[in-house]
Amino acid sequence: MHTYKKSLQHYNIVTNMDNQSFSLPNTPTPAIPPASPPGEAPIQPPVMQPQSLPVAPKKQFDIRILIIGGIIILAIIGGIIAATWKPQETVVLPTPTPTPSPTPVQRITVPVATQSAYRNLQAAIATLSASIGSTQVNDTTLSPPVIELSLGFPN
Amino acid sequence: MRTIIVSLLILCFALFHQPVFASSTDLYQEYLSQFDKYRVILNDFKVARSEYLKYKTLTSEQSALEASRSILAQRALLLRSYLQFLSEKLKENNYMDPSNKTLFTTLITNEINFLESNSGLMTSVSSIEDTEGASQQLTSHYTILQSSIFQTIVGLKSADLIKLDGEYYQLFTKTYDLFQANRGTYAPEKQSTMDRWFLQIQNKRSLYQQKMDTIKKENDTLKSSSMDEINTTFATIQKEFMEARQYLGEGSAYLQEVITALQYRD
Repeated sequence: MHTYKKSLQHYNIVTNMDNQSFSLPNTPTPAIPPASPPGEAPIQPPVMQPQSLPVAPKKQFDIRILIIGGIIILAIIGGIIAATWKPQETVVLPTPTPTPSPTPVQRITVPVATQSAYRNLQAAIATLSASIGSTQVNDTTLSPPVIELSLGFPN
Repeated sequence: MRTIIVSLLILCFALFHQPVFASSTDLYQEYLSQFDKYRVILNDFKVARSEYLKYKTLTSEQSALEASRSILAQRALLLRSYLQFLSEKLKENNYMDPSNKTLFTTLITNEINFLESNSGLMTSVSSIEDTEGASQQLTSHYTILQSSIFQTIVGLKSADLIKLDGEYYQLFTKTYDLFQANRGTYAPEKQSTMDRWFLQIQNKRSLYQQKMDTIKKENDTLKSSSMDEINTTFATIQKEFMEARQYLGEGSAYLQEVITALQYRD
């Protein structure tokens, strides 16, 4: 009898160990409702609904985003228009101003410059320069004729 | 009455009669005309020669002989007309040194005499071999003829530049004298500037004279050269003529600047 009790205790220990080792630590064990007392309506166990994925709550459309977007689009369009549009330039007719003439240099002329000797000399030098410029040193009219010297008969 | 008529006739004769002098322009036209004839006769000669060399017949030989006589005579005539043109150019040139003029005239006259004697050989030519001999006589003499021609041309061109240089120097002297006579009327800075400018004009003339001296020396070496050397030296001389003329041109341009600047005190 004593042996039987011991074996029974041992069995409990083993059973408890088994239960501890195989039970999931975080899985809540559904509580078994206590047995309804006799005479009362039996309490139905709660039906276990299958656990579904959490659905994000439907966001409401934010009007501020619309306003900011609208402002940005308007700013871009306004920038493009401002870049391409040139205001019509008004043609301003130039007011004719008097042409500034160089300040005349007051050069003092020497008396000899008015004499005929000076003028004749000036004209003679101009004529000489023209003569030198028109002189042809490679005058082709003086070139000798090119003739055939050999008659070309075999000896 | 008779006296009046005779006087009128003499007057008309004096008015309308112009002595005929062959100017260098007329002789140049004559030379060009002879050159045209030479080209025509040369073509005929080439045809006759090629027929003779091809067929060797008596007829073709006779044609080649006659064509050879014609071309030799025309060649001498062409050269003679050219030399006469050169001789006339020498006569017309008043700025050439008399000794040079005499020298070149003698050279040209000698060549004309040679060509006349060469033409005299045509009468004794009776075969193709004779024509080759007559032609050879001119060919062997042609280097001397060519050097005489080139020397004369260089002499004529030198005389043209010498004439211009004479005028240039005369005007330079007059301008300088004018400046010296009125030196006191110019500002001191202007006076020193003018002195420097006159010096530069003189330097240009010195460069011109050096170039002309070189040309004269090279022209003398044309006498005893080969044909190729004559042509090379002549080309060099022509280049030097251009440089000499450029110095004169630059000097006269300076002179124009000076005469303009001499109008003003400063």
